[in-house]
Amino acid sequence: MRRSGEVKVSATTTINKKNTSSGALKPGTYFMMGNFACVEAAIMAGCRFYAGYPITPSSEIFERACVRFPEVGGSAIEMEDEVASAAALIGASYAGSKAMTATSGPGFSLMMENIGLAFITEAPLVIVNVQRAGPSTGIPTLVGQGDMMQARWGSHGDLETIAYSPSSVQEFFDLTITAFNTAERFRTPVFVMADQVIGMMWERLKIPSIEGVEVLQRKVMDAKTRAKPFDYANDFIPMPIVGTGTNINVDSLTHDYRGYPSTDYTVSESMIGHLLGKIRRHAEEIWKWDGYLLDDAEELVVAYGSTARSALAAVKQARANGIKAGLLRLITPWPFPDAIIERYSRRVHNIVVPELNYGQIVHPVRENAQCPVIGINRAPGALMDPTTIVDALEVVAN
Amino acid sequence: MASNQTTIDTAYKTMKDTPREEYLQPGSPLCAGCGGEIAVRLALKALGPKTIVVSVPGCFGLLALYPYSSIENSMLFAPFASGPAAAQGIVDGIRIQVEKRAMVDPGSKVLVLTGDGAAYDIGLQATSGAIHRGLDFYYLCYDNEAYGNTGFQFSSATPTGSSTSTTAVTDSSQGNSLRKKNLFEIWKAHNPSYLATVAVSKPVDMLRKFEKASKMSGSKLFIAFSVCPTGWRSEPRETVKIDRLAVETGVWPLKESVNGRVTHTYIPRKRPPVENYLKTQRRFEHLFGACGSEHTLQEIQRDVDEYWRSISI
Repeated sequence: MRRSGEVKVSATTTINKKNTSSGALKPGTYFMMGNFACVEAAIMAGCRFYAGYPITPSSEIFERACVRFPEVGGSAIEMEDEVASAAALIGASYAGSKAMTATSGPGFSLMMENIGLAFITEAPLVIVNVQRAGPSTGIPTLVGQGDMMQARWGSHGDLETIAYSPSSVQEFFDLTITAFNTAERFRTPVFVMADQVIGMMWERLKIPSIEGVEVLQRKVMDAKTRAKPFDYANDFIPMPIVGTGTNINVDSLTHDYRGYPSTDYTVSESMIGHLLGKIRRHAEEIWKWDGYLLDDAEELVVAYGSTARSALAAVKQARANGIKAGLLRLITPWPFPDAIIERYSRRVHNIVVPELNYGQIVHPVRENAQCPVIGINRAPGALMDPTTIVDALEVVAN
Repeated sequence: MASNQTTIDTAYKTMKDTPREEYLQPGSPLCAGCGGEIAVRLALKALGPKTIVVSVPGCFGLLALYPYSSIENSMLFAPFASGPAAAQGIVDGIRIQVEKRAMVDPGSKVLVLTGDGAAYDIGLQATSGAIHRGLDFYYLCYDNEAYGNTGFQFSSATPTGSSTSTTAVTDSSQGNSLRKKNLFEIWKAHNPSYLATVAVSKPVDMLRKFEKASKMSGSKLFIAFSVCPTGWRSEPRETVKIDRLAVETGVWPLKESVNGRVTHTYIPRKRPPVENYLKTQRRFEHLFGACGSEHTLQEIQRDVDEYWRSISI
């Protein structure tokens, strides 16, 4: 039901140019699909380069980007596959543009090698994964949460990744902006791990005034200073941008502070130490979580994405049934908020972790919890029924 | 390069010679008026029941959808980029089993069935490898000139001027500004045994081409013009009419390449203006009327004229 004052936005809705000199949508209340909200957020965050390849259920992001990015002086280009999409982002990133793509499971798999390249070359970029049921082609049109571990461990070698998991259209919008800011600050690829329900759902969306939105820009290396382009002694180092007079070798090989490849063990140690450490040392600044009825909770539900919506309904139902249940919603599954889990696990009797997969985020929860942890797992292809979670709470509470 | 079909030794003299057997049954979940479906139906009639199909993501992945599974042949569904590579495994796997006497030679034919997204874009690398290795297989590309299955996004098979969901018509854009990739020449450069374009409005021509190919070993490749009423926004009942217009206006040349020698199997002598063809589809509607793009129309016509001039008929 649409309320007065709400504006419906479709893939081909163009902006009212009179009122939006910045290119962002006018502040106000909209009725919008999650995938469209993601595009509007990217534009607000200053993203002007999109390289995409169609894949259900993320295609609406690409389709709207093809209309909106040219309107704001940006570019949305269709590549020949997802390998190419991800590689184009790294090129655009090193040319100084904020860059993004959106995909789903099979495309995310194809991007894995380039994700490793973006990580080792410290190229900020944003990849949105609107998760569907897998493995392989799975069920393209239905929800899944099976790529959570892939976002953490999918690319070979030691990586530390950053991922956000939205539970509503509004949060898909907000976290897309946050993802760009985090990518710019940490100079690393950042994932927005949405799912089919969040991506294709239509909900009310409040678009803020652009003046009220924090937008971070990466620090850029001054070509004249001849600074170390990969200074491993500092966590946040200015990025050399090609075309500014910086002669820079951006290499996928293990490289030293100058960017030159090296087989020296000390170089390997310092580079990996830097790449992992810049995220690990600042993990607490990245963590986001949300609590519901945590203060007196005895049984804790830990959930994320669309499953957190089922979990919220389940916690309310369990409370009505006399169980002191609470919900801890993980907004940043990666880096994993281990200290948060440990802290809350000391206050409760049990933790249940509902997921639309056969056990992924439950593992780091179990690794860090000081109480029993029970996974509630369901095959992808349908939302988690709240009663499934209530039943589990009944069992653990009694 | 005149047609020399009258001298061909063929079982297909007229449409009445079309095999009665059906390997693609009615009741598939494909859209009404799908041109590609007719092409596959005819291809399977020519290739017969011992055809093993390798499918990849695309519209015809839907042929497997139970209870609407309308294809009677065995089918392996491979990743988007990997159809011809999966076919390599099947062909070699069967050969090895036969050599080991673990299997009686099944006399099978392996048919890779993909849309233009896989053929022109993501799967081009795997196809290049398979043809280069001389893999004994068939490849049928149903070319509906965009990613039909995901909502009609642009592919490198999309013709100039076509609107798609990623090349929308806006104030600053008249649809796709790029030219259609010439897959025929790309594949031909790999020197396959047999290569042909086909159109369902010329079913006898199509059956003969499959017949001719099946007498050869090596890579046998087909690009089928495939009207897509959903994406092209055309009338489903006009599919064959539109297909015929594409052939007669010269937009879709019917030709074959045998060991590198190209022959046009049908030459449209009159060639009506391309507008007659373009006007049947709303994906081109912005080219006509008061705000239309005369320039784009002329460019499309010029490309067609230039093609037929270049082959010097």
